Amino acid sequence: MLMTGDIRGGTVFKAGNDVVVVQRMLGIKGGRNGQVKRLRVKSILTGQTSELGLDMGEKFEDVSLDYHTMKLSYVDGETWVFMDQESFEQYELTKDDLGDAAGYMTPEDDFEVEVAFYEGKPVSVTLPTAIVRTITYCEPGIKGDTSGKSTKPATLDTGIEVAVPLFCDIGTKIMFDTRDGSFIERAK
Amino acid sequence: MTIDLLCKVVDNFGDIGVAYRLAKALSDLDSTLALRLHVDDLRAFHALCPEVDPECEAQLVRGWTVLRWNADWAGLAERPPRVVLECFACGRPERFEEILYDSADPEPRYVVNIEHLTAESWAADFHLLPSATRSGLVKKWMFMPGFSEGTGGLIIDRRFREARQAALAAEGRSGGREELRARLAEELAARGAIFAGTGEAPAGGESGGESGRSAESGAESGRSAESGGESGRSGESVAESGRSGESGAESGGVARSSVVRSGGRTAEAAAAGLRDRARCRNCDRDRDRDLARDLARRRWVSVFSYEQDFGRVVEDLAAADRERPLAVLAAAGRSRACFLAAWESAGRPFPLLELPFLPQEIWDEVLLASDFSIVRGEESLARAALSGRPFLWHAYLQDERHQLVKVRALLDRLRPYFGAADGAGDGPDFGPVEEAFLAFNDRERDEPGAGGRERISPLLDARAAEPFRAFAEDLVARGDLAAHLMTFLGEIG
Repeated sequence: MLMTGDIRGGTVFKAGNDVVVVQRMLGIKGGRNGQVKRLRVKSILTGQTSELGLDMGEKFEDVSLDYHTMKLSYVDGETWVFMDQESFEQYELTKDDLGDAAGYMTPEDDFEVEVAFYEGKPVSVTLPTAIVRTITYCEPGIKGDTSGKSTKPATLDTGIEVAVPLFCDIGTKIMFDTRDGSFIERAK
Repeated sequence: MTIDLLCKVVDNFGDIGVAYRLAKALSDLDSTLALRLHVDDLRAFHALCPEVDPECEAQLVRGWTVLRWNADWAGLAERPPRVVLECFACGRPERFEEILYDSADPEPRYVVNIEHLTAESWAADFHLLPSATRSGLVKKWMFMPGFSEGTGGLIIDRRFREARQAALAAEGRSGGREELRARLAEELAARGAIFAGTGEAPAGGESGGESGRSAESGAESGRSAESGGESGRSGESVAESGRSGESGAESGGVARSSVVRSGGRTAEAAAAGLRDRARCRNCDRDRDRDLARDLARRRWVSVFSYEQDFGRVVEDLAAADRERPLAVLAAAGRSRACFLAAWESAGRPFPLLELPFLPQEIWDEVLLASDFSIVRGEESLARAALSGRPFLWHAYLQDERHQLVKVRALLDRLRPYFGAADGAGDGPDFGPVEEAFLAFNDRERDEPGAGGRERISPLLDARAAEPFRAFAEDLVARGDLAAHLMTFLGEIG
């Protein structure tokens, strides 16, 4: 069984009679008894997208998936092409299929990803939990503020925006959590 | 229609307080509804609703079937769940889950998770959002209570609505509010009031006879509130609408008596007279009426929060008392000892009534009769907000002071009803109100020494009443959560 807490971007699970893949975490909000999540999912069976709200009290059935380790080979418009690191076969996913993950990787990256296959078809990508990227734009850093509690928006080399501590500057390499985009630490 | 309402008590009385109120509100709307309440802590339920027998697995209360969580009750299989209301994502009893997900049952089932109350804007984003389950026959949705358009609103059950209307009507009559308070004070006294005077426990009269009029002398004032009374009746006078009252539950004691500690200076004369009368045996009723009259003439301030340093709060209340007399009604529960300590240390500057655990309906009336309330949690916050009187909210403590996010969100809802420091906008300056809320909640622990930086004078100012009244009117105008819920159930079912 899959618990709500296990669900993140790229997770595939059975929702009612449908099989869905999480494209985007739209919000994780907390109360005193746990979290509620709002996510955008895409039906693997129909291709339709929709929003779901999940609380922590629900359990879901696992979906039988095959995983292959791959690397992003190149991007052609809205199509992202991955290469299987064992068979060297190439597989295509759309940017829409990738959801948030599309904003975290480029063909120049060294890291490998797990591509999930449902009934022989690639349906989602799971990134490493922590990856390093470079800040290409943010307001100037504030020296001395190392608490990390106050944040500012920063654009990464992939083009997406994340929240980083005030001490970060343009060119700073940061490690962040791909599950929720949160800052982990400054990378060496 | 049969509705299964599920509630797990995480701590205190807030969860069951909401579930109980929701059950009442749903029954108010449709008396033909068959409500089945599944509760994991019947003792807590009993505290708020004395008719509930905490030892009984399955029982009929007010026309509802009240079941202990996971009770082995044949009726569940005979009439499987069709509409399920989960309070705060509490999950479902094991056996209930098996029946709900019975693949041989071809009928659709509908589950609605009613989340915690929050003033945050995301409540509207989550409200009525479809959720998911592991079966195509079990459909689920999120339902968000809230303070703004686009949320499910607040629960306004008939009894509360009537009490609120009575309070408003009393306000419109000369002496009406005094009358209302006198009646309620008498009720509170009848639930076992004992005058402590300047800390001395008065000789109590004998029981007035009727249930709830025990008025034990309660040897040491204050202590009696937790220990007096008949065993097994703890719930009768217990508690606070949502959350108060845990002291009685936690101590395992019986909170039967309320204790008035008269102020050392301002109420000394009145207290002396009352104390003398209270010493007479068999004169409970006279004494209760005297208590009622004395209290009714004062402004009421109810206090029900978490542990903290109340030094400044007492200081501000004392200053307000010098301008216009007030009395503090301290609810049973975690804040009382701290409040008493600050009050003692300040020389008992105003009369103090220690409330016993009260049934939910009586606690509602106390809040509605109060000129200013300090409340905590969500249930009492909702009542205070609907009362139309100034209040100060102590939010549930969360990691990394996340409670401040909740408080700021509530302040954002209140802000439009106030003016600004530069005179812009109508009404009094919101700045001092905001400062009071934030200072009161800026804490990492609930403990006697926590906080204590807030100034509550702006909330005691008569000019603060209008913005809170207008806020409440808008909340009431948004309608009753239970009614919105029934409309939604009609749409999906």
